[in-house]
Amino acid sequence: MKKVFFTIAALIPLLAPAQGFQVNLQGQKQIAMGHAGTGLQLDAASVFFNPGAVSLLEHNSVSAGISPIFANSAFLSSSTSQTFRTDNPVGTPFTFYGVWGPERLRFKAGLGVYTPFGSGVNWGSSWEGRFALEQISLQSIFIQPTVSFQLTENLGIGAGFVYAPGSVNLQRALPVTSATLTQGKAELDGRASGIGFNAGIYFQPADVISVGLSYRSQVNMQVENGTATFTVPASLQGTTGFPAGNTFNAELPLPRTISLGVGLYPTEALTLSVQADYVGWSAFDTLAFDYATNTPVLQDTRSPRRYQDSFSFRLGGQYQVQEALALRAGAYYALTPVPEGYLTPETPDADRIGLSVGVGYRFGENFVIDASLLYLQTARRRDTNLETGLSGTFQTKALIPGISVTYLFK
Amino acid sequence: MKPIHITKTLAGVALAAGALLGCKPQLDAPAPVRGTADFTRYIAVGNSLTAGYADNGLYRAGQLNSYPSIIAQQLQKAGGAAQFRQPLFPENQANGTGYLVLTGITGGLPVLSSVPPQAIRGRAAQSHPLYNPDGVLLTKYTEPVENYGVPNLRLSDVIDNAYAAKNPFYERILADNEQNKPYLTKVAEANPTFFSCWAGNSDALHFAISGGQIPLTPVAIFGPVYDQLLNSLTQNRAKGVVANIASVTTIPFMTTLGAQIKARLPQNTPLFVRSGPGDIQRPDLDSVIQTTVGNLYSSAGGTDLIPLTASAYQDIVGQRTGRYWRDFARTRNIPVSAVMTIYSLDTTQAFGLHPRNPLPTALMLDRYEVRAVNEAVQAYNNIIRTMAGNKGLAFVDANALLQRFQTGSIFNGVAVNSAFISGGLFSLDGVHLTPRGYAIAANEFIKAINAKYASTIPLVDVNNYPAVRFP
Repeated sequence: MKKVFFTIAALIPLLAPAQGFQVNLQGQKQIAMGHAGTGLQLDAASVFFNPGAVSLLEHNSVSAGISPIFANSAFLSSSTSQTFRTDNPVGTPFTFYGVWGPERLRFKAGLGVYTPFGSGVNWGSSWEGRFALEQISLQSIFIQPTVSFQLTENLGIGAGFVYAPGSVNLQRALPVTSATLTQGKAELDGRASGIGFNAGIYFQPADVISVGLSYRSQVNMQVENGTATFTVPASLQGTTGFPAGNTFNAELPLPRTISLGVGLYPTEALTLSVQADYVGWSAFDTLAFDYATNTPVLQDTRSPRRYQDSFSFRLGGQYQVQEALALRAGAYYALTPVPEGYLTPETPDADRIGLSVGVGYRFGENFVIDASLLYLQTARRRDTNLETGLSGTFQTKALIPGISVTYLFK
Repeated sequence: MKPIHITKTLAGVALAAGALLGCKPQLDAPAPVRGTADFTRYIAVGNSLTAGYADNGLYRAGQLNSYPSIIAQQLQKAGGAAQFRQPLFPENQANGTGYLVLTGITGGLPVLSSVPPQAIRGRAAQSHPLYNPDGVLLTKYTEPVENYGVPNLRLSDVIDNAYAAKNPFYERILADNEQNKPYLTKVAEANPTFFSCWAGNSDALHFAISGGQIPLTPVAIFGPVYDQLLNSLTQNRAKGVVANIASVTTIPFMTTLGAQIKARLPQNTPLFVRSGPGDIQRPDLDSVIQTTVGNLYSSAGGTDLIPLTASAYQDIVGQRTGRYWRDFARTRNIPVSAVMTIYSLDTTQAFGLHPRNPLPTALMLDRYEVRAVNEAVQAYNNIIRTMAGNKGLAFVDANALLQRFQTGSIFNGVAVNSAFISGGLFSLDGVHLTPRGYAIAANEFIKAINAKYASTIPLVDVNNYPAVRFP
């Protein structure tokens, strides 16, 4: 398993769209149901959605899944009337979950490895906003060992510790021109890490209803001694310009999320789920880069982001066609955390809608395959960024197919 | 359900996915419209700014980046002519009149070098102290053009039928049988449907950069001639856009050096300068006035301006030297002793710090001269704004624009201000613009056109046009 994990990690986990740079692709069943999984106990993905529900899971299991993101953003400039499009790499968020508990004990241990935040946007080096951003790749892998206890037959609590390694790579054009008319460039590249926790409570007061509440804490990703590379004409290199071998520190907060979900079971075959998420985006107030060596032309930067806490609302359903076959559908609506005047090409965010479908099939006693397909698009959003002056309309559309394999055992 | 069905289902999902992958955001702007203007024949009227002069020279790359050519390229998107012809220097003479390049930065200060001229075709019958001090003739271009920008053109020159003999930039665009044609007639014959006119800068600029030696064009002449010029351009009901004159006392040519002297001498040090209106042939004959180092202009304040012509001498201010006066005598072919006598100099005194060894008027635009030139620019600009309004023309407030760049403006993440070299707006001569500066100007013209004529001409991305190039 260790080997498999590292192979998957090498795929470049993570990326793109959800809300802000949150990636809501943490379980194939749940993705297919509008990502409304906190009030349900469907499978081992409860390690992410609600550690409290883990102790009530019927089976021990391990599962692995992947959801390649095909996302396209476009920008229509207010001044030049030109349209520019991203050429994004295919993002590959993945999940690995394992849940195990001894039979007849009201306890389960779990492990989740998942990628709840990230971004992979490439606008290229000739578009109008290149001095704000050419491309960004933001990756984080959350590794979450978890314990869950069943307090009563229908009430579970659980919590997990999160260790999150990650990386960031940001490239933008620098406004210096060489004698041969080449444009300068800045590249910031570094490894990051942070810690946090995930806790939840799950309660099923009756056969027809279940309720879940989860709290996933903020994780501050600290970049220390990242590499700051500046490609500039020779006369601007050195100690009065852009020194070689410079490094930088930065911090990126990955916000806390509070989720409240309700599951409804009108018939034995039908499961409905509704959920509200409240994401603490106000933690992302400023994006600051602190360079080890400052010069007259290279000062530390503090770019205001001023994100605001915001909600998303989720709705999903599952219909058990046969004992082995389930069909799923869902939808969600996420409000943007980005206030007017702060829209950036790194996260061209707007209120967004997601529509999803999915299917699950159980092969024999032990194997389950789940697949999902999510389509999302943002509203067209026109803004003028107060820091860079970049003015225009952004829109993003994405299609995200996904699949997971689960092995169930006693 | 059997596995085969699952496979089919998954294949179906994959197929649907493939179909949707092509789905991208549809964000396209509506096609530009021309509104109530007709851009089929656009001509540009003006001086060096209009010609694309930059880095103390007119050269092909600068011409190709002129703001009128940028405007014309955008007008094409709304019915403008497919071509906009400029009196380009040929490719094998691309360096034109020669120009400055930045070849290094030493101790934080720029090192500039000259690229030699390639487009000198011969000697003029006579030199002219303002328009042609070197007495040269430039490579001719007598094909039809749409860019009528003539470097150094003053309003008072446009009705002068002997102007071609004075200004080689005008001479080169006239055929042999046109040599007595005044500029006014030449542009009227172009018969435009649309024009831009950014004229009048030279009438004030030369006074400022000469330290007040070259006289300002009298307002009483400026007004009637400007009226004639606009009448000629609009005679066939052409529409157009006019720009006023940007302040000539906030350009880096005037604002850069004072701060350097100020940084190195005590603020209360008395500073002496010959001042007065002067005369282009016999400068420096008026009285000596006194100021202080602290009164020199810098970002912290101050009123007296040291032009970039002083760059070779600013570091000898405060030294006991007669270097400036020796150079002065040599360039004018007069004995040093004569200069010493005329100006009653004592060069054992510190240069600039003593009334017997003062700064020459050429090296300072003192506060009285600053006030005089600013008042003149304001009077010219009142005339321009009134006449543009009377004729119903679009109007660009270039003066207000330049004021904004005193603090700076940001374009898609790129800061631009009017600081020398680092600011990105002004070219290496500190007077004319960089390609980026000209693109910013072009956008202001386009905004004014759109506002007046209900057109929707798109702007250009100014960052596609370079600022100062670094080695």
